[in-house]
Amino acid sequence: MVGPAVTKLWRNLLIGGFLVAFVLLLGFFNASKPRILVLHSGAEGSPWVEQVDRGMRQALDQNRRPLSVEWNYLAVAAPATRRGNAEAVAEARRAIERFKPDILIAVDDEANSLVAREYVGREQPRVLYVSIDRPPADYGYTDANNVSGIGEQLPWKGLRESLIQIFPNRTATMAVLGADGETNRAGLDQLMAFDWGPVRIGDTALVSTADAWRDFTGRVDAADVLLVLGAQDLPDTDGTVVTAAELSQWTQANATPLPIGTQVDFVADGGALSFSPPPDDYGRSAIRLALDWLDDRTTPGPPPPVQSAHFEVAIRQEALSRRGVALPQIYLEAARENGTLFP
Amino acid sequence: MTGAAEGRFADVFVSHWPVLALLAGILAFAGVVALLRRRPDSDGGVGTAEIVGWAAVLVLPPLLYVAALAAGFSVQSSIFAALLGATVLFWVFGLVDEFVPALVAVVATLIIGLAPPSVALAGFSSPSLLLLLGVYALSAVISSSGLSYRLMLRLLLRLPDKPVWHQVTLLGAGYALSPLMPSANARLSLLTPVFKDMLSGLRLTPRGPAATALLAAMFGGALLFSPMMATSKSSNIAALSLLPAQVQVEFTGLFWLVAAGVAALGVTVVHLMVVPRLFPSGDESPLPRAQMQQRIVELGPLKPQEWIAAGGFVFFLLGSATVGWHHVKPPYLAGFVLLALLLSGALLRKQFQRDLDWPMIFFLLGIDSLMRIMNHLGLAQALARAVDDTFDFIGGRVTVFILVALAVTLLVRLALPVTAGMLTAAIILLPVAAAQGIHPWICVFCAAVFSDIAFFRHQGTNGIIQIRAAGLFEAADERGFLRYNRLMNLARVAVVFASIPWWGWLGLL
Repeated sequence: MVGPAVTKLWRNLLIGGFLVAFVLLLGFFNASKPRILVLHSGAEGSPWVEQVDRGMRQALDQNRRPLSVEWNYLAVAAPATRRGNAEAVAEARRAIERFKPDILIAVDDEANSLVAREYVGREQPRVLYVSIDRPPADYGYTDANNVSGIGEQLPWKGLRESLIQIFPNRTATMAVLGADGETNRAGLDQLMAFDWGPVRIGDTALVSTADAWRDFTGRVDAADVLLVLGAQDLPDTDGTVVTAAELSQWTQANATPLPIGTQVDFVADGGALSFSPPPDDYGRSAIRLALDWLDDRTTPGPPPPVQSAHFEVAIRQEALSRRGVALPQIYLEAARENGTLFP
Repeated sequence: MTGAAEGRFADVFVSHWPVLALLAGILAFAGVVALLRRRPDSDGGVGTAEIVGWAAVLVLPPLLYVAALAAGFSVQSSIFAALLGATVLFWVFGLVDEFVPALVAVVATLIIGLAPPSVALAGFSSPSLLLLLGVYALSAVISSSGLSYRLMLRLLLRLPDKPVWHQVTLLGAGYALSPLMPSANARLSLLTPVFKDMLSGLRLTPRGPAATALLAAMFGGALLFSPMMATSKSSNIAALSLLPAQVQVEFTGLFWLVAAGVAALGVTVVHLMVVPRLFPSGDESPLPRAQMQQRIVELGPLKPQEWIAAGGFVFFLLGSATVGWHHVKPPYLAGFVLLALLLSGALLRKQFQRDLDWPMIFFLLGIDSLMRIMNHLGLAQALARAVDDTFDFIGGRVTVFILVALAVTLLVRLALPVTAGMLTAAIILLPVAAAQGIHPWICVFCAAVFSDIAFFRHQGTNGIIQIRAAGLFEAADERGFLRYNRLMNLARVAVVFASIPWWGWLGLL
């Protein structure tokens, strides 16, 4: 028979055991729950990055599985604010080493070119590329069993259709201008590989200074359209920084051809028309794919890579009508639905 | 189980060997230490049930987690099942104070990130906090100021000196509070000081039939009316939002009471019949009227603190009754009452620390948080989907549906407290009712009535735990009271069946 003294000791030991088990088991669970590291090419606070993050957080809000998620920003996309690549990459590597993510979500080409490609073929982390304009093969992602993601198909098809409607009875000429960087170089490559007929591609330039930007804009007077691949903060001749917003406003006000942006903030900053990849959608889709990949039970194995051709339209009506451009109603409604129709 | 499923089950257990090893290690360590340190203990021992309880709390929840995972449940469902399992085991074995297990579950939820703080601590940031603080503060001041004692003296002197009148007073007071105060626990806490004063004023024998009858009357007054109006139980209000919009409009007002009329009348009649038989009067001496009269004279006119307490009570009651006009919700009225008590000095810092039932407040808010975590994880909805096809045998028969509602609610209540239990049962039963052509309000009403049924100690979130925590069982015969509770459980089932012709007449069937 168990005496009172023994039972009291047992009780105390079991209470201690419960506390130890409580801390250890919960701690173990917490330490071993899946981890996702989001690595952005752009800087924290830039419109594109913010909107991608917003989409990610929306998808994470729907998720019920305990996860740890961290964000890291390379901030190497804009020439004027660009950190030394080596510094940014070292910081990202340290973050990966410290956090030991199960999945590394690398957003845009710079993050993949500078960091994520190093982890191809490794057991950990799995690499999920998002919004890359170069073909995955350029980063060695083809046939790698730890890589999947969402390639970006820039909205050239939609843009070509709209140009045919804006310039119905003639061959429109389109000049192309952007800030020099990995993403814009990849975008330009995609553009050159696209069949634009009947639209003709004129001069193209990726520049590193605001002066070069203004100079190019002044030189393409004969073009019908100036495609702004991606405005970034650029250094001016006097050493000051011209922000992306100022460049977009200046281009809209001074360019003879019709400026059309490919970035989400082009119209918000003062431009008249843009066709841009949808950042929220990329964010949501990236998290969905990551959760799918982490789920070894119902959907084992990596999700198949996808190519996203979605885009969103943004219109500033007053600026567009000042240039005498009338778009079909469907564009206005698409922009209204997206919340990007400006007066 | 198929071969593949068996294989996966075994795989999951094997892959979680560190969990099993840790538990085995702890038990082995405890065993060795217990054997090595056998020596007499001067201050007595503990019961075997407590040892079994602690061992169960240590071992079963981790095993439940692994088993749920192996059975194909999601990680989050398995974790919550383990946490809920631990909570229920704590309650079932009575290992710690009632408010502790819910806090354990909330803290564990936060540690592992099962729900964000905005969900896991939502109970503590909800208006319920103000309602509970205000009501408990008011209750404390009503008691400490002597107001409840004065009222009780006057009431006893005016009413006929018969036990039944004393009991009806408490029963009626609880009923009167029910439409205004959507918490049986809050009603109990307001009635408790009056009950205590009646107990001492009537000089009832501790644990005697009269004291127990009075306790039953207070409990019945606070609880029996809970399912009878939309506003007399917080889960009724929440369940109302699960009903179709037009049904909500119809049942938000007095029609709920009309539809529940037979049941309300039924439980009241049964209570009035059962109490005198279970607790026959006879141990009460006649009221010492002369002394009571003398005591009233000694008390003198109402003191300022009593005026403030009475004013706060009337303000809260009238304010709650006229919400439709001023649109200030009762929790905010309670918040104002709390402020008034604090600013006027009727409730001082020491009283605020000592007289408010903080464990009960934490218990209720912790339960609220647990329910929100469960909703966040979508577990009730998942359960509803899982059992959707199981109830085809009902065949549209309301009697069979009531039995099903009883079984489901009692089953859910084995693990969940009243509010969460009622809502979960309603969520499971509403699709069944819709498929069987049963009016959705009948479904919600059945869940509301049956969720108040409690057999086991841990199920006493309907108020019994509160009574125990307040020490009221020291004054009454606990076994007799629990016998009364069991009879009222049967009465609840009976009055729902008795309501069928009434619902037919109202056109609800």
